Formats: sequence, structure tokens, C-alpha cells
Amino acid sequence: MDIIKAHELTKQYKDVNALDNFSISIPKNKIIGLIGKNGAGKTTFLKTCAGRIRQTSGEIKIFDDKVFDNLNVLSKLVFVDEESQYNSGYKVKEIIEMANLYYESWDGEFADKLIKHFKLNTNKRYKKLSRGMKTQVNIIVGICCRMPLTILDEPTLGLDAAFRKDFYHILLTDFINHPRTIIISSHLLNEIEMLLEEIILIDDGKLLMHTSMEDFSNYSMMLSGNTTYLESFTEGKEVININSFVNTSEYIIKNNLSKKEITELKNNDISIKSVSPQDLFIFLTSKGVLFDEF
Amino acid sequence: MILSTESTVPIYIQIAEGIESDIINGLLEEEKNAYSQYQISKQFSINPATAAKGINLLVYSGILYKKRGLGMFVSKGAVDMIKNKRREIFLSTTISNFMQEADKLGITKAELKRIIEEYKEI
Repeated sequence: MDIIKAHELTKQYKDVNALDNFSISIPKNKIIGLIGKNGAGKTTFLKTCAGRIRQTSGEIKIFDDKVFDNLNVLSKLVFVDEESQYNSGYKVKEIIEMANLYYESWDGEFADKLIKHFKLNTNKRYKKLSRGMKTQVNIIVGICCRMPLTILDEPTLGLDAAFRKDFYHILLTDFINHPRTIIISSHLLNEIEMLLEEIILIDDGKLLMHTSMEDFSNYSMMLSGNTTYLESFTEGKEVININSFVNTSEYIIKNNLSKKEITELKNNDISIKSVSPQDLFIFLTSKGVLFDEF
Repeated sequence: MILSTESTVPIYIQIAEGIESDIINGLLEEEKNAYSQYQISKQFSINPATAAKGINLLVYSGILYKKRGLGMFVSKGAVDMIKNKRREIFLSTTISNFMQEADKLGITKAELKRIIEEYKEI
């Protein structure tokens, strides 16, 4: 069963389409990454899924039902982002108590364990916490409520590298123990790729790609060697990016060459490498003009 | 088993190769328990579906098998199977790459032969 079904979703802000005819189906009980540059439309999409904002046109169904102003659906999802809802002066322990009352599936024991683990002072007021500590509180609420649809919008902002690693591990372990649909948005694909089963690529409010993480890792390949040779070899092929230096070039192309073509490349001293998902994401969304213009 | 995110080898292949290496090195024994999907997933913080994919690769090739309710086990004869497979890869791919590189560098077969014969294990 698909948990999220969006059909030609459009969200207009003045004359900009933050979401532009965005259609997607998101399956149940997987960890899915929503990847895009700043301003690509990640947060707008997630907020629409969470019923925080209403689309301009198109349709979105969560658990086969409309989400905006629908408590039936809203009680089955959690949305964690940076502009936290608790900025009103509550103490951390009050926030935890409220979460306990609000979420039926709240795991208080696990929350206490995480508070200890993060060494959070629960008598402190939320708005007096550092950015990293605020993020920690948000994460605790987002994980311990165990909602069937857990939406984490850039969940690691303000956290140092060691803590981010810690968070990924906690999230994954809890997912194994309590499977649910988790959507994480990020622009740091290299950090979260290991966690993901599927990846959604968004750019300019449009869906660029939705595929398994594995297919994305195998999507492209890098050929490097003599420019003249590569120019003619790649004619008629899908080229994603070209980077040239004197008379050698690196071509990123779609990974669909025949065995014969690969042998031909090897015989012509062309080296073949795989492309990291993070690099592929940058190539797919930067249109390859970055360096030439500056 | 060690996994590297820097490597260009897909993670599920690294998992399969890592388990194979642990079998050859005797860390995992034939007819005894192998790592489970969730063990690998938690240990390396990777998606359980990816871990399952690596394990299934070895189930498919007969190196691991599933005992109902008891988890994954190393097959009898797994060590020989893995060694045979790696020997084949070594004799075809590794040697051929090695010879091509030697040829490019102008190292003759006679020279190579002498070096191999004089090679002492360190």
C-alpha cells in the first residue's frame, strides 16, 4: 500500500511555483530520502504531506485520505522541522510530558534513555537551548512518538558530525524495531545514503527522479581519457556532465553500455569509474555550467 | 567485515564480499551461524533492505542458507566454493589487468617471470 499519493500537486507563492505538477506514490515502511538543493521545494512538499499548508492545485492523499484539516490523518503522522512549535517558553520536560499526552504510541522509556544519552537538561526552557540541543529535542519527539508516517525535514541542522552519526544509528535501530515510513529530507546525500531504501530527487519544484537507492548508485558512470575519442564515443548517448582539462575529459553518462562497448573503451585506454550518489545528485541538478561561468 | 562508504563498490556487494572473507578467514565456520540482516544493519547503520540484498546474493550462490527460525547459516563446502570463485577471478581478470599494465610499462614476460620466481613472502 502506498502511504502518500500526490497527483499533479502545485503550490504557488506569488509568481513562483514551489511545487510544480508534482506526482508521486510513496510506499509503506521504508526509509526514503527527499533530496534537493536549497529552495528546490523539499520543505513545501513535506509541509503539504503533513497538512501544514494547502496546495494551490492538484491532489494529495495520506493513508488514502485528505490531510489538510483532517485529524484522522494528522494523528498518524509527525512532522519535525527546524522552526519548532515549542518556541513559546516551555521547559524540555514539559514538552516531553505534552508529547506523552498527545501521541498514543509515545515510548516514554525510550525518550528518557535518549535524554540521558544526549545529556539534556530537562529543566531548561526550550528557547534558551543551543541550536544543536533544540535539534536533539525535536529528534527525540520525532522518534519516540513512533508515528506510522514520520517526516523529518533536515533533521540534523546544527548537529556536529559525531552527533549526526549517532542520530542515524538511533533512527535506524528504532526503524528496525518498529518499522514505519520515514521520510528524511537533506542535501547531504553522502551522509544518509546508507540509511535509504529509496530516493526522491526534487529540483525547481519538479520531480526529477524516484528510484531505489541501489538503482541510483548504478545510474551513471564516469569515463575519462582522450577528449576527441570520448566526444565521438558519446555521440547519441545520454551525457549528464562533461569536465575537460587540456585534451582529456571526464564524461558522466548513463550506465547502460554493452559489454562490447566496455571492451572497446578499455582497449582505447578510457578508464571507467562509478559515480558517487552525492556527485550524481550535484551533476543532475547543477546543469554543468558552474565552473565555466566563474 | 569492514564496509567503506568511500569505495565505489556498492554496499551490498561489499557485504557479500565481507562475509565471504570472514568465511575464508575462519571467523565464520561452516554449518554455524552467519550474521543476520539486522545485525549487519545495526552494526554499520545501513538500511536493512541493503543488508538483506548482500546476504541474498550469498544464499543465491549457495554459500549461505536459511534455517527456519534459526537464521542464516554457512553452507558445508562454502570455503572451497569461495576459494574456487576467487581463483577464477584472479586467473582471468587480475592476471589480465596485471599483464596489460606490465606491457604498457614495457616490462617483458621474461622479466616478470624472473620477478615471480624470486618473489619471497614478506
